[in-house]
This record gives sequence, structure tokens and C-alpha cells, in this order.
Amino acid sequence: MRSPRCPICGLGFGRTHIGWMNDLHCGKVARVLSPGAPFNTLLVHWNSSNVEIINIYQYEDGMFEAEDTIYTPGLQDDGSYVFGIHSSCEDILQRALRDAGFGAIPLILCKLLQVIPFSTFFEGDNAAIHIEIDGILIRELPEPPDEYDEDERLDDFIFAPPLGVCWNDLEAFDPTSAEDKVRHIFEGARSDDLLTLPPEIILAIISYLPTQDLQKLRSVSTAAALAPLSTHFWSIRMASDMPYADFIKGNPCARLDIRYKHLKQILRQRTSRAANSLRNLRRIYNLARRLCTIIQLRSPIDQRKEPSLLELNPTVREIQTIDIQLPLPPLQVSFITVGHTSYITGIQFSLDDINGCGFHYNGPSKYLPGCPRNDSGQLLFSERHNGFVGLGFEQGQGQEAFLGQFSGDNICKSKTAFQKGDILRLNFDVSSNSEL
Amino acid sequence: MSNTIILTSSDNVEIPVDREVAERSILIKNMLEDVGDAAANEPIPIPNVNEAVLKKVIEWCVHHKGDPPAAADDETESRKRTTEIDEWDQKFMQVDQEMLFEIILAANYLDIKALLDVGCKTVANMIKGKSPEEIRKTFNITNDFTPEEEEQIRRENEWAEE
Repeated sequence: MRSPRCPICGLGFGRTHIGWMNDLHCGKVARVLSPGAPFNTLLVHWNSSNVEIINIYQYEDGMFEAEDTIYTPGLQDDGSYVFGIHSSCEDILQRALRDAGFGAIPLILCKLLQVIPFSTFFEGDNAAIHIEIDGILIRELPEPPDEYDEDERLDDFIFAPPLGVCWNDLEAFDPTSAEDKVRHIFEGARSDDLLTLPPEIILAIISYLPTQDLQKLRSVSTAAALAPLSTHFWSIRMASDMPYADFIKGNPCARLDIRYKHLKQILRQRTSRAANSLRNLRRIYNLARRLCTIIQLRSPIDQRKEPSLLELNPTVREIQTIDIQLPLPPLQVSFITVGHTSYITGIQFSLDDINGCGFHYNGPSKYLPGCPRNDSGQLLFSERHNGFVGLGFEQGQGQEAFLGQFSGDNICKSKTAFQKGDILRLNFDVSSNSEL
Repeated sequence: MSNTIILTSSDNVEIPVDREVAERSILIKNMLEDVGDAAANEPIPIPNVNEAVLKKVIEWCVHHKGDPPAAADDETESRKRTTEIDEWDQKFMQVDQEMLFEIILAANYLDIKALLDVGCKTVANMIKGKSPEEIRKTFNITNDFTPEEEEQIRRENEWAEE
């Protein structure tokens, strides 16, 4: 029988190939030395109604020993199911779930973990493009893999070179003079206007730059290379770039207090293999987030009620419809972001009005002011694959009011003429992606 | 309460503007609240912004008159990755660099957060995806690295992009 493997990273227990993974101090489970190597493992136990995370004290010969029971992974006599998971992988998964709005590991995810060979799911960047259960396509992810690759490379801030991260500056960082010195980033520019920008605006501009672009900006001159950026700046950036970094440090609570020197030390001590592990963890986090997005797109999550496997069946569809009399009234439009693309998931008539349609979860929402009361006009839409990503109208004289994305790979923008009194019907497929 | 107020630019040009439009500026809004309705009929001096820039800022405020007020900053959100800019704002920001930076400075002075954000995103987009040499050309920055330092940077960047 094949020895059990963590469904998240696909590696075994007890003797993982990723040495530093075993050294994490997650604080969730007592670490017990097994013969040869320490390990840090949890067990996920679920039945038809709930999911339980069990601390494991010993792993040997494919058996997980908990406080009062010894488990063999797989289907249990009582119909429940268990599988082992590295506590560090579970941490990443929990964080991804929490960031996606899930309170805990949802039952549906356990079912997916049971039926999908996750070691292959998480192996390649392309693997999450579609998910099947028993041969039924659950969801095709509308995200070309190339964009994801590019995104990951740009965001891989931890590999930025010294000019980007400026370790020495951090160590000698003087907060009293730093704000003013950040202006040196544009020093040497032959434009007085650029040099008049105050430091807080330069910091605001920099905050919009991916780290690799920031690194290139700091490579334009010696003044730019030596301009200090605060530990606080890097801490916030690391917290967003590497949400799992805080437990590398060993303190899951200190989200904004990550010490770069400490991370540098870890990275330099464990070059190459540790770096690969970091990439792996980052990928796991990103893919787990995408998996959560898939689940949300398929079936909006009510925190109190887990969706059943039946609800994931693509033949079970629930359509919500809303009719809007044109010209377009003021609308609050909700979006869900998948990779680089934000799809429209719901519409409400105004900021305070609860009347609306579709799915309004904790994602970004935007305000679209109403059309001028003309007798006719043009509605604007943009779409990408199987979802709409933008909505608006022409205001006349070539001006447009538009929400969402209007350009990019595979995004098409179109216009539709309307007369006053026409009805715009919006259908939201709340059992899968939102559609207009 | 008058619906129109007068703004006086740094070059002494008086520009009438709807009060609602002008109140996109938190500076002007607070000022009007402080001086009261009677004094609001007096021209309001905007000493740091000239006529051309002030008219441009007012154009932006007119277009965004109905927008909801900007949300307060959340520290955890201060890392702003998305540089997506509304299509109208993109066209609005198609100006020369001098005007772009003056709009940013004016938005900062007048405390119009949304316009300041659009300006900063526009500058960030001028940097994104460019090589150091292209950034130097864009902003007229002099390259003062020695050949040895430049070679070191090239090697470090290669390592980063492996």
C-alpha cells in the first residue's frame, strides 16, 4: 500500500523532503521526534456534517496516533474519512481559506481533497485549470496559466536582490531622516517637477509598484539605490506578498512585525532548497486561494451552511434574475477577483438599498452613477470567457461611465443601444459564475 | 447658501465652480464649513495652484461629482497592487509630465484623495514593466553608476529573475 501523503504538498509524513518544513514552530501540535526525523502533522477527520482537525502525536507505518485513537487514513468504519496534513500546509490552507472568507476548512473542500489527487493538483501551475469529480466537470477556471506564471514571478519579492531589498540600509535604518531621503529615488532627474514631489507622494507611487519594478527603479542611479525604505514598508509588503512568512518567523500573530533580517538569515542559511520550498509554499497558498475562489464561484458560501456536493453538480443551476428599467439607475456592483480578472457577481440599486441580485460577498464593490435621463443611449459591457467584467454607459460627447475592466487578454467590450423604458434583464447564475 | 463659489488661482484668475464640485476637495470643504455661508461668497484663494492646473482639477471633480466619498485608509491595504485606472481617468491623465506632477501636487494640496491616487497610479504605470534604462529615459534621470557597479546590478537582477 502506498504510504499516505499530505494532500496539499503531496509529500509524505515523518521524513519529508523539505527539511525546514519540519522546523516550523506552528504552535498547533506537540512536536514529537519520530525515529530519524521530527515531524509536525495534523489529521483532518470529517463525516457528513462536520470537519475536525486532530493533533497527531506519532506517525509510524502509515498509522497516525492521536491522543486516544490510532487512525489509518482513508474511509473509516463509521463512514467518516480521515487524511493527514502537515501542520504548515494546514496553516497555509487555513490562511487562504480565511482570506477567501471561509471561517474554517469547509466540508466541500474535504470532499474535494478526498476525490482529487491533490498531489497532482498542486504539482503544476496548470493543474488547477479545471476540477472534476467522478468525471463531472465542476469548474473550469477562467485563468490562462501564463498570466499566473508572470504574476508569480513579478510578486516573488523574497528573491529580490540587495538593491531591491537593501538589507544593509534596513540594518542601519534611521526613521528620523528616512522619509526625506526617500526623495533621492528620483534624484538626478532633469525635471524639476519630479523633484518637487513630497516624500509621502513618492512612497504612494512606490506602493503601487510590484517589487521587481521597484527593484528596477532603484537600479537607475546610486541615489535611488541608496534611498532607504522603512522596515515598516517592507513588513507590509512582505505580509501581502508572502502571507505565510509570519510563521516562518514562528510568530503567527505578528503579521506586521516581520523582521527582514531574520528572514534573510533563514534564506541565506538554507539557500536553494529552502528557496524552492518557499516557492512551493507560495504556490500552495496561491492555488489554495484559487481553489477557494472556485468554490465561491460555484456556490456562494453561507458561513453557517456548508454547500453539499450536490450543490457543486453543474446540472443543478440556480438563476437569479433582476429587471432594471433603462436609463440605468445608480448601481452598486460587486466583483469577485480571479487572478487578474474581476467578474461581476452582484448588483444592488444603491449604496443603502438591499434590493439587488447576485452574490455580494466581502469582495470589492464599486459605485456606478446613473445614466442621464436621455430618451436613448448606449449601454457598454465587457466580458471575458464566461463572465462579465465591466458595465457602463455612454454619457455623450464621447464620454463614458464605466466600472470594471475594459481591456486585457481576451476581454471584449461591446455596446448595446437602448431606448428609455427598455428593460435590462440581468441573470446571475448563483450556482456557478455570475453572468449577465 | 450659494451653489456657486469662486476660486482664485495663484495667477489671480477667478474661476466660478459649483459648491458640490468644489467640495470634492476636503481642504475647500473644511474651509467653507469653517468660514460659514456668509463668507463663502468671497473668492477663495488657492495660492499653490495656477489657473491651468486648477481648471484641470475642476474638470476631474465635475466628472466625479457623484462618486461616493473615498474610504478611510486601512493600514493592511496600504500595499496597493492594482494600478487599474478608469478609462476616463486614463484619458484625463494623458498630459505632459509637468502637468501630471502639478495635478498630483494640487490634488495633494487640495486633499482630493481619489485624484491623488489616480495620479500616483499613472506615474507607477509609467515605471511598471520598464528596464532601468527606459525608466531613466522616461524621467530624464542621469545614470551615475560606474561600469563595475552596473555590471554588479545586472548580475544581481539576473539572480532575481532566475
